[in-house]
Formats: sequence, C-alpha cells, structure tokens
Amino acid sequence: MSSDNLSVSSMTMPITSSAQHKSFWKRYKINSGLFFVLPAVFMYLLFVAWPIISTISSSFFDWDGISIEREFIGLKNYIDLLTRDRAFRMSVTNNVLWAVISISVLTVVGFLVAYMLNQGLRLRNLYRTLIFLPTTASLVVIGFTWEFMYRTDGGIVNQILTFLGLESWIRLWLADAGVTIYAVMLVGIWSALGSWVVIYLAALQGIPQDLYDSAAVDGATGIRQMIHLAIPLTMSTTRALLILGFIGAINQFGLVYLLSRGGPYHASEVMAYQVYDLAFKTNHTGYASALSVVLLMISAVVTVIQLILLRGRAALFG
Amino acid sequence: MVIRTRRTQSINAVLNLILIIISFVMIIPWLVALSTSLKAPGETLTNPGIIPQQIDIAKFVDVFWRANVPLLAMNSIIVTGTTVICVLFLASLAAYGFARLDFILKEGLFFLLLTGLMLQSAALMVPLYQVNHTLGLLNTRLALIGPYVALGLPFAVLILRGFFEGLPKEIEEAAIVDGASRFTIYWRILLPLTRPALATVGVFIGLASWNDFLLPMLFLTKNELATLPTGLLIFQFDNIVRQEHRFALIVMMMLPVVAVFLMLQRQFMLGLTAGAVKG
Repeated sequence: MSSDNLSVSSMTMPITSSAQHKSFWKRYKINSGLFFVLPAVFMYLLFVAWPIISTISSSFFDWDGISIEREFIGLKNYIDLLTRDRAFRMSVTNNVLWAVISISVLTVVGFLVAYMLNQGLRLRNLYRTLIFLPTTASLVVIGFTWEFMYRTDGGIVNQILTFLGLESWIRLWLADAGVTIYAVMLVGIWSALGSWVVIYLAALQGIPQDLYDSAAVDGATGIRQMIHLAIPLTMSTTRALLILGFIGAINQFGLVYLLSRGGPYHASEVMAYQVYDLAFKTNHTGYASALSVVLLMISAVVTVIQLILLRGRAALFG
Repeated sequence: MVIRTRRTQSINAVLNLILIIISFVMIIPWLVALSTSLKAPGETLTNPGIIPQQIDIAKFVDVFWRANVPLLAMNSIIVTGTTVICVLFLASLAAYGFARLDFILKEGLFFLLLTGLMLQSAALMVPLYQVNHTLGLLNTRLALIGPYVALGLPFAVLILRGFFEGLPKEIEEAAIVDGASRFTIYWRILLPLTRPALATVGVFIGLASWNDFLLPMLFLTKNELATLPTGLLIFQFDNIVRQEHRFALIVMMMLPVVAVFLMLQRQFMLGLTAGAVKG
C-alpha cells in the first residue's frame, strides 16, 4: 500500500510539481491584475515613498545637502527642533492660527454662500463663477496681485479703508509683525472660498426636495430649515472639508513665500517656509529633513483620522 | 399665496444684494489687475485709482516678447500635457485593476496609494529634491513631471476606480466570452466609456500642474525651461519691474485659463467635489 503510494507519487512527480507550480501563482494571486496596478505603484514608490524614507534617514545627520560626508547625530535635530528652536515654535503657532481662523471663516462663509446660491436665484451660476475664479489662478498671479493691493503707497486696501473713513485701520500690511500673517491668511481665504462654496453647493444639491417640503409641512421654514435640515445633512461634507482645510493649513508655503518671505523678522513664517529656508537658502539639509518629517507626521496622523472617518461613511458615497 | 410670493420676492432681492456684494468683493483683485495692466508704464505712481487715464494696449505686445511668452507657454504645455497623459494612463490602468481584478496585496497597494491623498508638494520639498538629485533629473522637465504624476495618481486612481466600479459587469463578460484579453477589455471597451471621468480628472490634475510654481522654482535654474508661473516670477522689463508691465503679463496669463475654465467649468467642479467627498 505504502510502496504503491510511493511509486505513484514518484511517477506523478513532474505533473504534481507543475500543478503545484500553477497553484503557487493561483494561490498567491500573482496574475495580470498586478501588472495593471504596478506601473502606478512604481511611480508612487519612486517619487513619493522612497524619497520620504531617504528624508527620514537624512534627518538623523548633520548635513549640508551637498558634501559627501555627513555626520550621524541621532535624534539631535529633533531635540533641537522641539526644545530650542524659537522660529519653529513661531511657525507652528502660525500654522495653528492659520488652521483655526481660515477653517472657521471658510466653513461659515462657504456654507452660507452655498446656501444662498442654492435658493434658485436666476444669476446663481454667474455668482458662483465669479466667486470661484480665484481657484483657477496660479499662486504667483495671486501673490503679485495682492502684494500690489497691500502696498502702502496707494494700494487699494488702504484706499478702500480711507474711503470708508477707517484711516486708523491702515497698516503696513506686509511689514508689520502684528498683522502680516493675518494679511497673508486673508489671501488664502479669498483664494479657497470658491472651492468650499462649490463643494457645499454639491452637498446641498444632494438633499432631496421632499425633505424640505416635509420640513415645511412641519412648520420649519427659512432659517430653521437651514439649521435643522441643511446643516446636519451636510455634516459629512463639513467633516471632509475640515480635514482638507487642515491639510491645506499645515502645508501653507506659496502665499507666505510670495507675499512676506516669512517676514518681518520671521513673524509670518510657517513650517513649510522654514523647511524651504533651511534646505534651500542656508543648506541645513539634515535639520530641514527633521522638520519635513515632523510636517509629514502631522499629515500622517490626519490621514489616519481621515481614513477612519471615511470607513464610517463609505456607504454614503460608495 | 400672494403674500408668500411677495415674501419670496423680497427674500430673493436681499439674497441677490448680498451675493452681488460678495461677488464684487471677490473680483476686486481681478479689477485691480486688469486696470493696472491697461495703464501706461509708470502711471500707477501718479494715478493709483482704479480707472486708467491713458489706456496703453501696445505694451502687451512688448511684454509678450520680452517675457518670451511663446517659450513659457510651450514649456508649460509640454510639462502639463505629459503629466496629464501619464496620470490618466497609469491611473486608469491601476483603477481598472483595483476595481475589477483580484491579486496579491491588492488592499495593501491601494492603501499605499491612498496615503498620497494627504500629501502636498510643500511638505515634500526636501524628499523631492533628494530624489531628483539622486536620479540626475535636476534642470530637466522630468524633475517636474515625475512628482506631478506621482502626487496626482492617488486622487486619479480613487476617482477612476469609483467610476469603473459603477460600470455594468455584463459588458466585460460578453467580451471575455468572445476571447478578449484583460488589456483589450480595458483599452478597447472600458476606457472609452470612462471618458467623462477622465476629463474630470484631467482638468483637475492639469490645472494644478499648470499653475504650480514651487517645483520649477526649486528644480529648474535654466530660464529656457521656465514655465509660465516661474516666467512671471522672474519677469523683468529692462531690468526693472514696472507694475503695469507685470500686470500686462498677469492678464495675458489669466485670460486663457479663464477661457478654458469657463468651457470646462463642469468637469472642474465635478473633480473638486469628488475629491472632497471621496478623499
């Protein structure tokens, strides 16, 4: 019996092995599907994942980014960053301010404008287009235009304040340590408002008319419909926008670079601007890498929160 | 009933008034840009108001050649065109795989790509510089195209996967019976059906790379490779910067974008909404 078995198995060996061979591919599902996704995955690994890993590694070195030699210093860059770097604390404060203020303004104004646009006005598409226009412009265009508007010699911002009788509000908008970050932030809000409005508008248009009708039957009209119906039903959109807004706020670079170069005296610096300054102006590449890693880790934490939230509402948009 | 209509009318009047004010405030910067571009060089110093006194159109031609707009536009078209084509091809290929096929590490690879949704190039300045330096891509267009494609893929794959999942499976099953390969099904049958989603993704990715100034500023030092935004950034007219010249260039840069936007508004807003709702 056992010898029979043996002989059978030895005879069928080649066949068995080829069958096993086949089942190896099948069992581990290595099939054409992989070849469909690998090119995209390869590009992502090459230009995003691998560089991030190499940045993490260079964050443990004292390195100027150019020379071949670099000195391993362990966590020193991180310790310096978190305990001794006053400019970093300033940047973090500005990023947090940016997140809190711009997200609050954009959520409230963005929702209200979208709600008004959803009332079936005849000119709603015109309003929407005008409000949305800044979203299509390059940051360089936006930066030069607002720098020109904030000028102290005849800039339109001060002209308007004078016209409104608010001369006492006039400031050196881009050179006053107390106001520059807010002046830059206003430009950010102006350029982002259009996309918040459009996103809220899409969410509001997704609410079936029946719900408004039955709310009206129950006596809810006007403002009360907005509070009890529209705001709760667009909550998932608000949540997504909060996360997008937060990601935008901690990645601010362009407007700060174009309008104030982080000045005066670092007063309007944000984390990404500091990375730029350290890596590309003063060649502290190792230190800049550590700062980049901190920035990316904040993004990663937010990503995880985002993915957890997404799972909760996958059914809504799947 | 009559009372209600009258009330609706007065509410609408108020809403219109508020929206007119908001819209006007929102376009003030564009009015300033347009008015400054029309003024004669140097006029801004004596006439800071919004109405130009001497309208000077001729300098648009001067600025067009001094800034070398044809070269800048050509560079932007090459970079953006290549980026959009690569993203659409690679992302639709991957999206089809993720939507319809089963293979090893499918969930893990999809999750890997999703992490990119939260990455913006400002946070990746140092990593991207390092990879471009290592691969010897600095001062080539690939230093822009590579990162644009890689950072555009997560969004594109997510949107396109959703679109592929929405297509009826019967189309493919019929093709399989006829003996078509997976690639043929993707390329010949499904890709043509995804054209609306491809347009949405393409417009969105295209605008982002068209407008970007950060990567060209960091990775290109040769002026002959400059794209439109960097061209504006370094633009000088006879070694000095006159606002009227600069705004003439700004207006020339904005007009085509606005024209394209007005034509493709729907795609762009769809892309934006899909991005927010899905990602």
